Amino acid sequence: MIVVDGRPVAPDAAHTVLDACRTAGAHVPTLCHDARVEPRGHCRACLVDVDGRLVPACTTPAHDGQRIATDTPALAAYRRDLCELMLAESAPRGAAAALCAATGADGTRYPPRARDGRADDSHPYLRFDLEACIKCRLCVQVCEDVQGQFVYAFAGRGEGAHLSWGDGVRFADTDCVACGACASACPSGAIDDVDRRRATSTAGLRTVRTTCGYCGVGCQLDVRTDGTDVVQIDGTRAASVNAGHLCVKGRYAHRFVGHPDRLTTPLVRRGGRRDAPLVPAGWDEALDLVARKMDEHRGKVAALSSSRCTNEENYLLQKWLRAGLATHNVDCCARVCHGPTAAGMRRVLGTGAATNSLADIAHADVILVSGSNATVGHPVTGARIKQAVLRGARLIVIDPRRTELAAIADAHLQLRPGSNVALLNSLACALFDLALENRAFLAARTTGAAELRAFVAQYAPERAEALTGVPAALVRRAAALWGNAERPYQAHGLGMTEHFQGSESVMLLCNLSLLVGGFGREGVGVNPLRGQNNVQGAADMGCQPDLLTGYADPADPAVRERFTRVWGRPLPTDRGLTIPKMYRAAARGDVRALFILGEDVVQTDPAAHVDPAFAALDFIVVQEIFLSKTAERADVVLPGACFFEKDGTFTNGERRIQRVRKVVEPPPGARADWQILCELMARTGLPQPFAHPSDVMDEIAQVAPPFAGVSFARLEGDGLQWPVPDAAHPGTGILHAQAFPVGKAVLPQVQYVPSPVLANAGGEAAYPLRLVTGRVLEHYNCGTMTRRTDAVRLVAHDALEIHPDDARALGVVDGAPVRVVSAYGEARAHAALTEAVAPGTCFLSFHFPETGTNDVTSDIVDRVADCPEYKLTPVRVEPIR
Amino acid sequence: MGEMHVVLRHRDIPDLHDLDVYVAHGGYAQLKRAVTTMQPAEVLDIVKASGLRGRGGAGFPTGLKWSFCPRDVYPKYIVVNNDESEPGTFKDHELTLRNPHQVIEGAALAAYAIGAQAVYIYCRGEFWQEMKVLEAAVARARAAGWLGQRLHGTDYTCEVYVTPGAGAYICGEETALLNSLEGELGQPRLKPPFPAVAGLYARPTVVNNTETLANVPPIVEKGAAWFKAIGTEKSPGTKVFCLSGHVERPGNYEVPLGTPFEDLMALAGGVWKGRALKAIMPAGASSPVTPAAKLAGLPLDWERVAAAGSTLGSASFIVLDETTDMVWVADKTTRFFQHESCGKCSPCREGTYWLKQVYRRLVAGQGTAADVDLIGDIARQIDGKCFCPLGEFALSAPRSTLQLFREDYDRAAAGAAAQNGQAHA
Repeated sequence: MIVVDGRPVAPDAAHTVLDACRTAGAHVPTLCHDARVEPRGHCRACLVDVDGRLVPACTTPAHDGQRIATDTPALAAYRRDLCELMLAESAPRGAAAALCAATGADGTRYPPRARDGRADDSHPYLRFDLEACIKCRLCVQVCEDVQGQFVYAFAGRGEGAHLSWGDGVRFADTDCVACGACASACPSGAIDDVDRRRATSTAGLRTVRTTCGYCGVGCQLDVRTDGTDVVQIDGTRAASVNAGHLCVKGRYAHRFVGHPDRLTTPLVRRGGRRDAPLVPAGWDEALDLVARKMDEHRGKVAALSSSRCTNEENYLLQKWLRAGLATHNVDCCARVCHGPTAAGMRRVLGTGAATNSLADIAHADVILVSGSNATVGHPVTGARIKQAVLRGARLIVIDPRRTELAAIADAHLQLRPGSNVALLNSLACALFDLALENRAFLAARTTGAAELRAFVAQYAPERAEALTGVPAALVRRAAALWGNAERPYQAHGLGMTEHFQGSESVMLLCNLSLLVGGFGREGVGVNPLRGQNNVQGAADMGCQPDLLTGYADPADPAVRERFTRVWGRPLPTDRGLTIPKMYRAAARGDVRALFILGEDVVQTDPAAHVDPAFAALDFIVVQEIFLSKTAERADVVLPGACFFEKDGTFTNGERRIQRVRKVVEPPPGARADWQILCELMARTGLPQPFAHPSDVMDEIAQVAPPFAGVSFARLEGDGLQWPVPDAAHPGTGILHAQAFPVGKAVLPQVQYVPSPVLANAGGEAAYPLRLVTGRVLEHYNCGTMTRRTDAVRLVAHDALEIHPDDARALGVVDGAPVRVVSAYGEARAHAALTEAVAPGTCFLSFHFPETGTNDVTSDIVDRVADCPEYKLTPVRVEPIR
Repeated sequence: MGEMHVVLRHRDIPDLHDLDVYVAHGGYAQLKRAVTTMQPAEVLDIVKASGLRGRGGAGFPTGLKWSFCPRDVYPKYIVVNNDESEPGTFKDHELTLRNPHQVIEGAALAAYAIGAQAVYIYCRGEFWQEMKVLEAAVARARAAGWLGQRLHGTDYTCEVYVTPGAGAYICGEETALLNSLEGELGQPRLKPPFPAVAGLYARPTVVNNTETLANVPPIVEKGAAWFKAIGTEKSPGTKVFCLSGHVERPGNYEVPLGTPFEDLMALAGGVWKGRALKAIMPAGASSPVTPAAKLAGLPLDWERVAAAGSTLGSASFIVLDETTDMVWVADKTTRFFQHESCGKCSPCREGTYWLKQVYRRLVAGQGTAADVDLIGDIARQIDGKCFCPLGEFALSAPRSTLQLFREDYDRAAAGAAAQNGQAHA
């Protein structure tokens, strides 16, 4: 038994003396303590009396028999004097100032001495006032151990010890990724940010927990609001997804919310003419027009749902199309990102979603990241992977670019864009060659191992090298690492899926985990890093032509019966169109009206698809928060609400359904998207009884067995990971523990087929470089949100990454404007010379409409799931003189 | 008792730093014998039985320290603490310059005993010449087959690396040393884990002082009984005493532990200029001053110096004659520790700063009685509150001088500037 201030504490309840004190309810002051990092005992504020000796509570192990006193006259005197010393060297704010006040220290014991007077406000978000610094070094620790970024160091010694990010360097010029972890951890206010400063000077703030609306990680946010504005955001410390951590977008990119560009009234083109101007209209006029037109084109309507919107809204949209307009023509942007993942994984395993949880990353001993620039696209997950690697996990990265993760990888397989299938087969071949396949697992859970072995022999690393450009020895080294893993974990991104053989590449990723027994337990699995905040949910809700809510097959009679019963309408009988097929049908005249919920397809889908379709369509509706490039071309624009302005749920990439809570009201005139959809359903003869999104979720639970146990009441806290088959079920963190839905997985054999885009382009002579498109950290997709924040002070335009050797040969210099030309069109950007891309490869982001990135990309799609091949376009680059 | 050269053998054997001379006098024979004919545990047992204690300051039993290393965790490391930074200490400097092979052989024997295959000799940043000598010695010994891969046809490999520090007193503290060796900021680590469990690169590591390891070859050669016959029961062997300050012939003197204070002083010619002794600092700047009265007839070993209220430490005697102003002494040590505080924890970082301010006032003749009281207050704020022992080291001189020589403080508080006309100022 441990005794704290006379109260007994069980020794096994406490790891440290501090734990014991807190368990006993005793207050021990701490300044440099943060549950996310190892205690270091720097600040000395937590000293307590243990068996007559003063020791730091945070670093002293607890053990049976200790008698701890936290409140003695000696401790009070010590704490006051410590604060006096602190006040002599600094002018702290925040927690440190509060401790000083609580101990009675007033800064008179020692005269203030010369202090570190540096301040820095060069960064758009972070602020420094080092006179407040108490030198506890927590910032150094969280930067290194939480984000893995190593921006800070302590320099000097003795009383000259000071925080440093490089002598004479402006903070804006450091490697900081603006995750803000330091500012949120700093107990003295020395490191601060613009929002925290605003929050300090604003009275009466309320905190609302919600789910981040940027990427598919699904970080939990504690949003502070004054009732009209989002003032400041912190990560939720107790959240399983992010444990308090956030990225630059989640923490800081929220100023778009109250931006003057927000749409506040419906817009219509009067007279039914595309060349008439978009003019403000009343809600009734706009809604009636949309209802009439959708009715008029019955049989020739289609809808694109939005991964930015909630599950409830996605559910309503596909219900409208299916039950109201009698068509399966509904799809979502999963089509253009992880559709191939769903297709490939379903085909091999039976379920098209991440098999494991984000928390498994910490348990993995070997991590394979393929086609994902996770520290950029999914920063908090990227940071988790970095943390794991810094703690000793081995890392294999498959990527044509030397990403941040590739730079710290044990093996970076820098393949030529488009050669994924060849490389994945050669890895499988090398695993067999090294006899590292898990024979017990293969026998128990799969069939076709012998056949696969014979098949992949033709992809021996030495032979595949000619296709992939990856040295055979490196492939064998990676295979050895992977094959010897105890807990092999995979994370993959769009570099795998957005290809002609995207779905097949995902099937081969499944192969790699099947071969080493990497399914059904902690620390393993195949885990797509889902792109948009709710792309998982949009697909879950049935926003895809071939599958209903909960991935139910519309051909199944039992399914048809269930949906018909709940919806009160028969299910449609058409086949339904995927997004690329919708565009083609529109160009042919087979689709006449298109409803687009919160997508900027003009900027993000290949122009080769979109332009002919938009020219031929009779009627286009866009429901949006800003006048995007797509909205500009619509016939009706309906002003919706962003995720801070409505209730609902998002489902993240680990199948976790989490609450979205209204923080502020939508701008006057705009409406929550679920309400707009209910209005439209009513006006097309399908009135809905829903008063709140929770009612919608209750209906989802009725129609879709994986969500049967889901209700808003159960989603408080960390939410639930589907499947949740009943109201008592705790959710499912790890899939396929016992068996795959398909039974024994059949190991797929996939032959490498070069993408037709390589032949279409007219040969390497005309288009010698292979262009990959993607994102940067600071911006999000089409940029409608992030371009309306201070993110533009960090990154103001898209840049073409090109290898210096290629640039030299082309006469391109760093920062100079270039034209990127493909057989499909051209884009303009500024060149960024970097060795992160291999010679022969270049990279362009698509955040700024003026760049025209998707004017360049081709009309080639994944031959299974119709996902455009964004990750491979033959181009040439020309300097603009 | 007179001098006895166990580690300072070069004083009797010219050119002992030369490999050929060292080998001609039995050098590396013990390493060869151990590797080819003895089990590692036998070497460890001999050192344990000899009662050898660490010569770096703490006096911890060396064999016991080695035995803390877990047996079945590899790799392990031996690190030689050659960061000789205590003011008044200069024995390792002489040892590495004049008798480097005995240090290296001792380190290699330690490595064999614990199952380490690599030795790092960490030298203080200013040891440019010592580094050169050590590197040359390692290179020659390796070329001659005394070190390196598969020694003498066995499976045992021992590589020795010489690395420089960057000039920080705190790097003599073993965990700060390990951080520095790894290329990190030279600041102490949290303990536990102790280096024997997770030291260099988080592997089991023994950090031993240079002089300690130089004792190992003769112990292995002549046996534990021989060693125990020298010195006292609890402090066996010889010790190099570094004499400096107000003494006729400053320098290193190796004598058996337990040698009476007067005998040692006689070797060095006594207090200079025929003056009377006021006090000594027996372990350099970090030790409490010991007044002349307590030194009379005092046998110099760890127990009895401790009983006299101080510490033998690394046996670095700074001799202070009757004219010495103790405020001036404390001011000098305070300035030293303030400069060497790493800045990691507030009590030391800020406490040493304020101690320095108070002493600056006192020695400038601007001090007051309140300042003298403030010394005690600041000392209480540092004592037992710091991350590592440096904070307490900084208090040794101020506290002991204040307690023993209050009259010097009263004079300073009365406005008299401290007298600092000493030749060694």
